Amino acid sequence: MRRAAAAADEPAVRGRPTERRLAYSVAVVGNPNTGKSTLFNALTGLRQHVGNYPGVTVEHKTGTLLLDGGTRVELIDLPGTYSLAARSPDEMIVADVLVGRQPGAAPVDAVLAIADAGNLERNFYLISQLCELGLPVVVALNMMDVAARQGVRIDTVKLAAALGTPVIGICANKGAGLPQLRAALRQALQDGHAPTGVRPAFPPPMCHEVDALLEELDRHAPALKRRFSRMEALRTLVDGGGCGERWVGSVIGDGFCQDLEARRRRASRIPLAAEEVRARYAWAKQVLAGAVERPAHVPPAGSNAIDRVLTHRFAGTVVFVAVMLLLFQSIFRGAQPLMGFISGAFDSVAAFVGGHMADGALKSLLCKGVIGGLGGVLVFLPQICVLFLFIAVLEDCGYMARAAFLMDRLLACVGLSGKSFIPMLAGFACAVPAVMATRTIENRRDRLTTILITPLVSCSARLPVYAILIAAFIPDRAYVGGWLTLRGLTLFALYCLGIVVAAPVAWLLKKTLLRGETPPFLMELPSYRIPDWRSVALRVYDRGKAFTVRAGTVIIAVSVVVWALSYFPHPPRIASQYEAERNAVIAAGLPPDKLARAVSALNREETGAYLGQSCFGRMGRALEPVCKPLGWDWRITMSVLASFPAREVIVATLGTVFDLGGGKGGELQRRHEALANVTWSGSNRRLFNVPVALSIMVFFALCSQCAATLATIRRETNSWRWPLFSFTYMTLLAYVGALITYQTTMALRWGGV
Amino acid sequence: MHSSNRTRDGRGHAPARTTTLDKLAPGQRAVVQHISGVGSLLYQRLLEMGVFEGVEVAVVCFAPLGDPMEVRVHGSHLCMRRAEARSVQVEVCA
Repeated sequence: MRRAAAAADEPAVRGRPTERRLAYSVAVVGNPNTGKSTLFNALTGLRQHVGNYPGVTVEHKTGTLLLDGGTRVELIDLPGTYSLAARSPDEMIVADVLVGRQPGAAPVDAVLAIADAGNLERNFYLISQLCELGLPVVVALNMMDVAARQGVRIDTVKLAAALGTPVIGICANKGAGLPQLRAALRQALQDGHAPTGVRPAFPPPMCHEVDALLEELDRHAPALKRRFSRMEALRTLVDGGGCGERWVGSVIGDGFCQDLEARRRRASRIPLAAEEVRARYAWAKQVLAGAVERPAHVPPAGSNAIDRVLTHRFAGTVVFVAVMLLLFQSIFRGAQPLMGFISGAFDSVAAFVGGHMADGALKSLLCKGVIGGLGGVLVFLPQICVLFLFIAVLEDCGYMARAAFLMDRLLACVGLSGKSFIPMLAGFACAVPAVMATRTIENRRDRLTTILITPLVSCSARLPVYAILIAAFIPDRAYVGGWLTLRGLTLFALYCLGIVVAAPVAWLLKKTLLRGETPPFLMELPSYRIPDWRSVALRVYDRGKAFTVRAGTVIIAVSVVVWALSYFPHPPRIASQYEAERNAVIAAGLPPDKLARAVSALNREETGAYLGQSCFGRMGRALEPVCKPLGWDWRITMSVLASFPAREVIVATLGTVFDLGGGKGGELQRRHEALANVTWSGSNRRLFNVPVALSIMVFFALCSQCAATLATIRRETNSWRWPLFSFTYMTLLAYVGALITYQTTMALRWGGV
Repeated sequence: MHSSNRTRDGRGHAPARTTTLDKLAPGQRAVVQHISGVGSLLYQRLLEMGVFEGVEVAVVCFAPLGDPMEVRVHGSHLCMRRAEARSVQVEVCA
């Protein structure tokens, strides 16, 4: 009856799948931090996949569970929630899937409710709501071992009798109780009836109004295209301004909402939400009273003692800094060897393929465009995996919430919350995993703001750019007996620049584009526990796969486009010109070592000539007037343009354009000198000086030169709008920043007279 | 809302014992009397997390920078900002 309209085109009766529906659909629902994902993983193993419902960015996981007797169950892992009174997008998904409103989701046949055995009172608040859905419910009490250690004794038989539905005690991470849980689930699906136990006692006027509202909604059923359950009527009445009210109001008209207000006033003198909470907690107390025994004197939990250290003013800060340093070091340095290995491997593959192909556009496309692009995707994997390994462990053991707790005050200054800290820290290594890490931020506006400012933080790909320009142009001066160097200070200043700019940008975004009510920072600090390694491994795998598949496609496409821009038109006259020059050199009869050097110099020059003639070269010349105020000529402009898809490319491009030769070890010095001696075309004036180097570095510090980040933002926000916005504002910011830097430093005569 | 707070404060018979949650010291326990801001998201969240009239709460600690604070309620630990705790009126336990 709940889905009368839906049933018209869906002949399967709930609880009895026919040929048209091969599997039962069961939703796993519970409070956050109850081990929901651990249970889900333990039940489904690797038979699971991640998906998005149409039109929402909240991800959900589904997995297949085979019960005895061949019953197939499609298990849906829904986001953790404290209540069905939906406010956030996550909670709305839970509510919508459970009542069958969610497009793209199969109607739910039963609910698998998971609760923390150590904190039954609050967990049973949600369970009381779930029991009113009119669906079969199986309650799993997780972490029975922890509760037992605290001296809590739970009689699941008595509890099941009081609830009128099966209750199974489990330890999801050890697999204990899972066979019983499967059996109970199978039985519940076969019987197909909702819990029969006592219900929360709402005050009579409130019950009366719910009934009256349900009648009213039934009258409008044709317009609403479906019939409401009593639970939905209750939610519409209680959740003032909630999604139920808005949706019904938009169908029936504003009169309905005014009418609803009158109903609310009639239902209770105190706010209905408070009335509901009171009734449900009273119910929980009553249900638990006969079935749960707690020791008279509760010994302080282990978590309390750990917390006294970890949130302590001094010790807590020290531990926090140590953990963050370890995290930072691991992504920054720990992933480095693997990244080197990956890029090395792809270089060898490209060289191997190149060696077996005739010169031409196809070879260049394959080696530089496709293989280079693929390498450019996979090179991020080590950092992504290391970061998500950390995040999964920190989240599972309960420290993530403490980190947010410790850093909240700082981030509140710019309108964010402590939850933005870890993504921003990760941004120092790489913006790609950092953007993916913002998933831990529930509030949409906070999450978007963090996504938009994280790319401003100086990532590791900026370091090679800083390194070559600082080494070439910043004088090697030491202060304070060698403890401070001008070069080190410059590098430090560039790293600070990102943060210094990110703060006002975040503040501005929160005041303008992403303005809205400050979300409550009301967060549970979960008990400390040992992470479940299977869940951790699965999370790392999921994130790595999501990046490779979804962002990777975009990155490879972009790298092919960039290859084309730097390859075409590829005029044949350059080839014939250099071929002639090479022949002349060979004919001159130089000794072998000199000959080799001369030929390789010619080869480099040829590559530079092609680049100068390419689309990028033409764009560089066209844009020179725009970039002259930054101190750049067309060659610098072209190098910067070519590095938009990946900023570290500029090191190689500068090498090609200014014919610096491949520099290794001892040649580095020569390279820096060569760079310093470059002059403006057709003049003796040096192209590079301190202001130019600074303006390039500031530009690189602030600009969004990373296709991978933009592709990840697109994937995480499910729209092209935000990557476009991010690109535009950062490029503008970079231009203005570089302009100010160049003009002021020139005015200060840092460029020499 | 703030004015209603003030009248409640003024009406309290033992003003020293009635205060708001953010003013408690670490280790102090209190019973929730009233939550202001009916209908707001914060109000709803506080209720769902089990903070409502008649419930005992205890302040565990404050973050090193003075905000937010950690509160124990129904055996679980919650973190909230002082500004949020200000809307929870409590009676301090002896």
